Amino acid sequence: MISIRRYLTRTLALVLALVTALAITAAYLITAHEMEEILDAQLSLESRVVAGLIGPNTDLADYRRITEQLSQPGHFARLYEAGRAQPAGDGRQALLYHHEEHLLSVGFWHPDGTPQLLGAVWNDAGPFPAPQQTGYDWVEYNGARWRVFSMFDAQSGLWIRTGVHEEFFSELESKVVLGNLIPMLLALPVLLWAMGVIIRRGVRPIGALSRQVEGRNDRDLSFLDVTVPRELAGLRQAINDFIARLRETLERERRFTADAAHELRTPLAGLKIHLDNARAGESASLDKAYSGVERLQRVVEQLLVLARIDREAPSQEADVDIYPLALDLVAELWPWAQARHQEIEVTGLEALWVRADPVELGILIRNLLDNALRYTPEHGTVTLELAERDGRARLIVRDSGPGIPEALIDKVTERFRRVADQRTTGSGLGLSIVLELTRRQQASLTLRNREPHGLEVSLSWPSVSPATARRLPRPDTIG
Amino acid sequence: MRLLLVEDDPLLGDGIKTALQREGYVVEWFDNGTDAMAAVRCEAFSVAVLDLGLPDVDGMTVLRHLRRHSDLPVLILTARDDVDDRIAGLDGGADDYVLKPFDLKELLARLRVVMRRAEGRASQVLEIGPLRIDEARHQASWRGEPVALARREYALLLELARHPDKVMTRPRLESLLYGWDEEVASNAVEVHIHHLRKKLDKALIVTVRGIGYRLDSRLQ
Repeated sequence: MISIRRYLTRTLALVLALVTALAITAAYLITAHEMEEILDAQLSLESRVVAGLIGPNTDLADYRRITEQLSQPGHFARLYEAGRAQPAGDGRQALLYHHEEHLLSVGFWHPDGTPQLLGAVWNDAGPFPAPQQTGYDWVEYNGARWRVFSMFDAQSGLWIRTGVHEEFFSELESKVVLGNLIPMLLALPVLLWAMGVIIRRGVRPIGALSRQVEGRNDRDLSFLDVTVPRELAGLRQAINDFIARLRETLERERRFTADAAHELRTPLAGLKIHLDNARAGESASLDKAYSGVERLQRVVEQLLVLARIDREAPSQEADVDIYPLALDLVAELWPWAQARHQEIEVTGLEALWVRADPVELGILIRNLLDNALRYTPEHGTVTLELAERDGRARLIVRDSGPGIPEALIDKVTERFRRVADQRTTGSGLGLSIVLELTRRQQASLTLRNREPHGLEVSLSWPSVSPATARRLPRPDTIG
Repeated sequence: MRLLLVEDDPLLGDGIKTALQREGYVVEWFDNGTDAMAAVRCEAFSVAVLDLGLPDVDGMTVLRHLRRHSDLPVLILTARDDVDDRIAGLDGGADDYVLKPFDLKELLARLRVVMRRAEGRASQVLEIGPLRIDEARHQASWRGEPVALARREYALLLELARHPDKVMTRPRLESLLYGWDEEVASNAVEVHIHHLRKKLDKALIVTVRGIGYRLDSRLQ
C-alpha cells in the first residue's frame, strides 16, 4: 500500500538532492569557463607587457638579468644558446614570493623553435615545447597540462609564451564547488527535517478523517462531521452520501423484516387459533386452518422469490417474445382458474419482442396473472393483452375484481400492502415483486382502476424490438 | 361480555371470533380502524382486542381514540417483537399485549386479567357474599355448592356481579349479551333473570322497576 507521506518525503528529498547536484554542477561549469577566460586574458596581457620590455636592443646581459629575476629556489630559469641551456647562475636572486608561483611561467623562442630563455619550471624536464602559432592552447609538459598564450614579437624577433599550470584551474574550481557544496550539505538535513514536519502536518486531516471512520462500531451510522481541508471535502461528502444510502438500505431491511414477521406471524396466529377451535369441536375450523397453511406457504414462496431477486446479479437481457411465454403461464394457471369458474383471455399481438431477462419476465407475468385471478371473483374474467402503442411494447392484465381504492393505488406496490376488507389470501408481496422486477427490466408499471370495477395493470417497455409483430385476427379464449 | 375485536386479517379475525364466542364473549369484529372508532363511541363494550397493524389507520391512532372516548380495557395484538413497538403500545394506553402467534389460553387469561384490573380486582375469583364466580373455569357456586348455568345465564350473572349494587339497564345488559346480528326476544333478559333467581336466590337480583336490575351485595 502506498503512503502519501512516505511518497512525498522520498520524492521531494530526491528532487531536492537532484536540484542541489545540478546547481553545483552548473556553478562548476560556469566558474570553470569564466576562470579560463579571465586567466586567458591575463596571459595575453602578461605576454604584451613582456613583449613591451624586450626589443632589438635587448642584449645578452639584459636576458641574463631577466633569467636571474625569473629563477626560483630549486627551479632556475635558463638562458639558451644554440638550443642548449647555459649553466645556471649562483641563484642568489632566486626568491619565491608565493608558493603558487611555480604554477606560472614565461618563455622566449627563436622563430626556428629553439628556446632563448625559459622560466623556472619550464626547464624541469627539458625545454618547454616551442610555440607554433599565435593564440591560446593546452600543452602537455612534464606529466601535466599547461594553459598557454603564444605571440610573436617582431621587434625582438622572438616568440613569447606565457602559461598557467592546470592545477591552478582545478584548485580554483574545486574551491568554488566546495564553497557551494558545504553550505548546501549543511542546509540539507534542516530542509529534510522541515519538509518532514510540513508533510506530516499536511496529511494530518487524512488521519483524523480515517480515525473517525475507523473508530465507529457497525451500528453507528452518524455522518462524519470532522472539519477537513478542501481537498478532502469531496471524500467526506462521498462517505457521508454512502452512509446515507447505507442508512436507507438498513432502514428498508429493518422495515422489511418487521413486515415479513407480521406477514408470517399473522397467518400463523390464525392457523393456531383455528386448530384450537377445531380441537374444541368447531367443525369448520379445520378447513380454515388449511387455508391458513396455504397462505403461509404462499408467503414463504413469495419471500423466497423476493430474497432471490433482491440478491441476484443484474438480469441477463435477451430478445424475448412475450407471447409464447405468456401462453405457457396462462396454461399453467388455467386449472386453477377453471376450478373457480374464471376465464383467462389472451388478446392482441401474436408476437411481441422486448429486451428482458426471460426468467424474471416469467416470474413477473406469473405474479400479475396470479394477482388478477386471486382478486377476481368466481365467474370473473382476466384478460392479458399484448400491444404496441406509441413505440412502446405493452403487456396489460385486466381483472374484474374490486379494484384498488384510489387513495391506496400508489401504496399497493409497497411490500406487504394488501387492500383493506378483502377476503383473499394474498401475501401482500405479489405487487412488490412485480415492481422490483419491472425496475430490473427497465420497464414501467402503471395501475388503473376500471369501470365499473376491476384493475388494469400495464407494463411497458421503452421500445419494441424490431422483430415482426402480427396482430391476431380475433381474441383467443381459454377457460 | 361484549368484546370489540379490531383485526384486519380475515383468517385470524374469524378464528378469534369463533374461539371467544365459545368462551361466552359477544364478539363485535371490525376489520378496519375507522369503523371500530365509530362503534366505540356509541356502543357498550367490556373489553377490546386491537391489532396494531391495520390497513387504513394506524393501530396507535385507534388506541388513542379508544382511550379518549372510554375507559375500556384494551389488549393489543402485535406481530412486531420490537420492544419499542410494545412500549409505545403500553404507553399509548393499552393494558396488555399479546405477541402473534399466541396461545388461545394465554389470550383468554390476559383478557380476564385486563378486565379484572379494570374493575380493581386482584383475584380471578369474584366473591359477593355467598356467591362465588370462578372466571377462569366459568364456574359459579352458591353457598359452596356449584350451580349449573346456561351460557347466557352465566354471562348475565357475571355482568351483574362485576358491578355489584349498580343498576344495570335492560338495554345495556342486552347489548352486552347479544351481538348485533342476533335476534333478541323482548323478554330474553327477564327470562334469564328468572332462571338465575330460581337456581341461586330470589333476593340476589333486585328488580329496579322501569330501569333494570341490580345485584344485592349485602345478602347473607
